[in-house]
Amino acid sequence: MGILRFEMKQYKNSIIVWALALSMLVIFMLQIFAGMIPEDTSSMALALEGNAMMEALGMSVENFLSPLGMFGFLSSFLMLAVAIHATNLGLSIITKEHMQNTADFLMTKPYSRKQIFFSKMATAFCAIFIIAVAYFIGALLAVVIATGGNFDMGLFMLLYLAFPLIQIIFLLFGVLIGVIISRVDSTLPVSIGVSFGLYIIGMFSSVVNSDFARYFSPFKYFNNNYIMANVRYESSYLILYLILLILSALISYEIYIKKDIKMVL
Amino acid sequence: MNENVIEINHLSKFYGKQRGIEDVTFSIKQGEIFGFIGPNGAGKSTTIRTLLALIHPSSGNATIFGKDCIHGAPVIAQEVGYLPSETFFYENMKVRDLLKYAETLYKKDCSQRIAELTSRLNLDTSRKIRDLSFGNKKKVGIVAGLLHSPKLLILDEPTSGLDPLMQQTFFEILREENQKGVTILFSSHILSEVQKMCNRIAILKEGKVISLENINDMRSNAYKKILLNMEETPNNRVFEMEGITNYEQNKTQISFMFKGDVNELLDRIRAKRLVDILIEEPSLEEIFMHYYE
Repeated sequence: MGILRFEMKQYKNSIIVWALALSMLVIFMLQIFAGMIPEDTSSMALALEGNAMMEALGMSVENFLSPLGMFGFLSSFLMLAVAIHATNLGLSIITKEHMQNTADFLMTKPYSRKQIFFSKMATAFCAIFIIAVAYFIGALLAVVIATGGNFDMGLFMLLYLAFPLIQIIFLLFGVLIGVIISRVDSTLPVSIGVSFGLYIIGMFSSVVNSDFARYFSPFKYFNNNYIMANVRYESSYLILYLILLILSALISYEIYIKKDIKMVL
Repeated sequence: MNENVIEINHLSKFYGKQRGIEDVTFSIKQGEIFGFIGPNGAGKSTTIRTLLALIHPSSGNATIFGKDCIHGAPVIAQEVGYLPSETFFYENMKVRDLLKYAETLYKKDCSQRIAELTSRLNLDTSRKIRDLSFGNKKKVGIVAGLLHSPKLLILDEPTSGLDPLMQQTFFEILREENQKGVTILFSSHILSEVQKMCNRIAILKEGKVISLENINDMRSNAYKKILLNMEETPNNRVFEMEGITNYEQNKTQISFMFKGDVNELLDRIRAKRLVDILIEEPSLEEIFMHYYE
């Protein structure tokens, strides 16, 4: 508990800023974009047909022009931001003890590596949970305003849940990189690189329409078009997601428990 | 009461192919002040870090309070105070908050001890860690290592960065702790401070313990460094007796190391005409040099 409280205090400000920023963004952006959809969507649909940008984003025009579809579209952008945040959080919470050379301090206290690892993971999950809840409130509010309350809650939940799911997997990616490299001078470039790289792969998979490339980008595991059409996630990608999740967590744990704490240089 | 607090059995640590320590074996009794001496890179810190479960041994094992130092680490840590050679803390915290955090990690009320130690060491707890000098950070480390009144203190080159007055205060604190029954493991490359404090020492060289000595024995059969200035340039080697090593003769100057009966040596010296004589304790380097030949 001591470690959890201490770590939460260290991340307090960043959590508040991210939670506020993301919830505000989704509220305002959805109103702006939804406001641009005209009553008669046929001319706009025609204009956007075969648009390369839409293809890259993997968004069908029809979905793009509905409020929930628009929410899914915006959410997929914000997911990139939150993926960077989650990766960075996972990376920094593990590597900062090495970079500040405080590992000696923390690891010689009466806590096992296991307890320290779980305390750190608990902190990270608390942090992303708070942001996810704030985003949920913002998203719900935004969709209610845009549709006047007339929307499919189940579909909304599926579209929304992709957001925390992305947070969790990228958090674990960050942790995994952190336990492997452990001394990262600056965590943000690494986080941006990983998240953006996987995002680009996702865009590429949409453009070339390759299911194989899609496997490499968690951003594309929860395809909005599929969710809009079938009101569920694609089971093959969901299974792959769970496997990646469990693997990253287990490998990180195993490495963290056994890792030597390098001498301060 | 003469139980072994630390027992190290054939402990080895390799970093890939690079040697850390090799086959280190020794034990430390309850209430002892044990010195651990060797030049940089001899494996002092590696041994200490293994004892603290910061690194995992390649082979062999060590026990502290009878528990395996890796598996029992969290339990052992409750009774161990550690002062690293270079102290680092969360830079943007205030000293006071950091010590409080350390206290909560031990789940123990140590406020009185913290107050006592900070005032003795003259440490301003309202300052941020970032703004502290190296020596002041060291003081924070000392308080953080001692605040939970541990039964075993592990100190890795503890005096670096402390001014002589502070060193004295620090040694006083250590002696008081020792009188309460605290066992102390003390690593250093400064022989004089080890000689001042310790009952026994282990000398490390290239990852191996090359000598375990009792300080009193070491003193009694310590090497003396002897410099003689002769009146005349002798033709051949003047001194030929047991116990003389590193003999050098350069015109009227003779220097050597001596270990053995000093009376015998003095008798021999008396037979010669001297301009000057100098008998001194060899420096650490020379002792090392001797062990390291």
